[in-house]
Amino acid sequence: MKERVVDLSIQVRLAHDILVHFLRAETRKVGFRKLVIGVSGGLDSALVAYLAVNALGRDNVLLYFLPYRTSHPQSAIDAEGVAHFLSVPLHILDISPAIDAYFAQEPEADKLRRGNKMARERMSVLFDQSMAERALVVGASNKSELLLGYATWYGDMAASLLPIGDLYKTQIRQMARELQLPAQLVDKPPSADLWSGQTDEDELGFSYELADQILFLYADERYRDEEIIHLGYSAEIVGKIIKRCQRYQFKRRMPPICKLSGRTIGWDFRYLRDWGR
Amino acid sequence: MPFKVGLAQIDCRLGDINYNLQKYLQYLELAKAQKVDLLIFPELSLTGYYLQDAVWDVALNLQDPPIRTLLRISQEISFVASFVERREGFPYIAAAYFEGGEIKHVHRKVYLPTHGMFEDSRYFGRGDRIRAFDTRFGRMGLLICRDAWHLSSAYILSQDRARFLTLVNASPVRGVKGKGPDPDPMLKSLLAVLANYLNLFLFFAHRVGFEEGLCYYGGSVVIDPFGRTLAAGPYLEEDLVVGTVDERVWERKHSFVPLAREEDLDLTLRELERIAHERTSG
Repeated sequence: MKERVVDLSIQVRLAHDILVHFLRAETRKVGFRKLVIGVSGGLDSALVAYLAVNALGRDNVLLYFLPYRTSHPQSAIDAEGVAHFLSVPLHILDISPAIDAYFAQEPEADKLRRGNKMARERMSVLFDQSMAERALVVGASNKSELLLGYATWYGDMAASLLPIGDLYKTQIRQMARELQLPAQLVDKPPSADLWSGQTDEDELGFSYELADQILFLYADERYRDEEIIHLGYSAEIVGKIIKRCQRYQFKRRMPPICKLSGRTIGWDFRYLRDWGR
Repeated sequence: MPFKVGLAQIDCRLGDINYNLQKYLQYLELAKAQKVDLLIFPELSLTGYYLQDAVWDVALNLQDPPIRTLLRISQEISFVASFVERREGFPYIAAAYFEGGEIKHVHRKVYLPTHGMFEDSRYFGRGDRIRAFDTRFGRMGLLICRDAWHLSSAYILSQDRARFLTLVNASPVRGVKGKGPDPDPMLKSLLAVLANYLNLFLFFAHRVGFEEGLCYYGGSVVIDPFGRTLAAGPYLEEDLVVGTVDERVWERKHSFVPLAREEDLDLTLRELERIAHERTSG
């Protein structure tokens, strides 16, 4: 394997300023003043919360930590740490009663089903708070997760805005370092924390650092798989990553509408969200 | 006589002509208060850029009320407006030069990016001419965004004796590398090169704001014929950028480096005709 053939570094100040303006503009455009963010104790949601505070001020950012009883104890400590670092109160709402009530009726469910249900429960809470507080839900999905399809559809992927959806994990780490977010978060192994001991990289079978280089070459630079392998990347991992990219395209799209009319939503009825605002 | 040029680095609302027209009027007033003689508005800033199907709802005939409003104001100040023009039924991306109660020139975007995130050709007709025109300040050329990436566009205008090149843009951020606050320093280099080697004052008006996730980043500039920046707008924020243009600079540049006089238009034409002929007969 060659070392770092790809330079993923970005200009952090520029990306920061654009994202702060983005959050501010998109929030005001829809007539809202506040943002609501689910913080997990991980790096992505911490960065999103940091950007949100810089965009709208700490009084207009609502942070929710939504643990399940099996969530890692460190997650709570780190979520508190993020809130403390940003001087924003942390609302804690235990989702265990809701999850347990459901699975009492579905006792045979495996851990993946349980994990997905938790992610969707969190989404459901955040959107309820969105309505209660007139606050837009800001998601923390990043480009690595979105391309790998490593996220729960209509769960953690569901949000009104995805400010860091065009940044790879490697770039998020660079941003967090340069913006001096708590070091503990930057060095922490990424985890969906849906079951005990889960880490993204164990589950995926490769590191984000490696995946990001392959994804960057494939998605951003439009290299073909054999060109990427020729650069020295493992054929097996390249194959796996490109397969995931293609297989999970459905998560990145509206559900298919069967075209019956001459002007169908998505195909011929085409407007940005800004239309009529 | 030196004159003041203003670049209206504004945000606008997608598809909302009334709102955007009010913004135009506000900036025209602001410009008049600052004794600006010529004000430039960015690409499609009267209508918004990423219109998709809304193109048909916002397309304007040159007789429509918003244009008539602008014509009235042009008695007091010269300016460039940009909007979707409906001409013989079809929409074009247009930039129009308003002066003395008249539209002196309309440029219709020739090079319509249609790749990646861009869909211009899906919705717009293609302009079929690039011509300089006379203004009370002297001869000017108008280009819209991608037009300027084609080096022939500015070349044609310089050969048509333009001393001022007005470029109106709506360019979304497509990369966050580099060192300074400019997401696309290569474009600024191009503009300086065009100004310097074609001996032009260059007025670059770029909008700000977001359309869904697309970020228009501003950074409007006035560049002199030596390629020097005379006035520069901020990035990401609205502003009225004002620079003073002294035509003596053009004359001095021409006397130092008379590239325009050296230029052999006949040679260029002969070679281009040969190339065109070889392509069609090849």
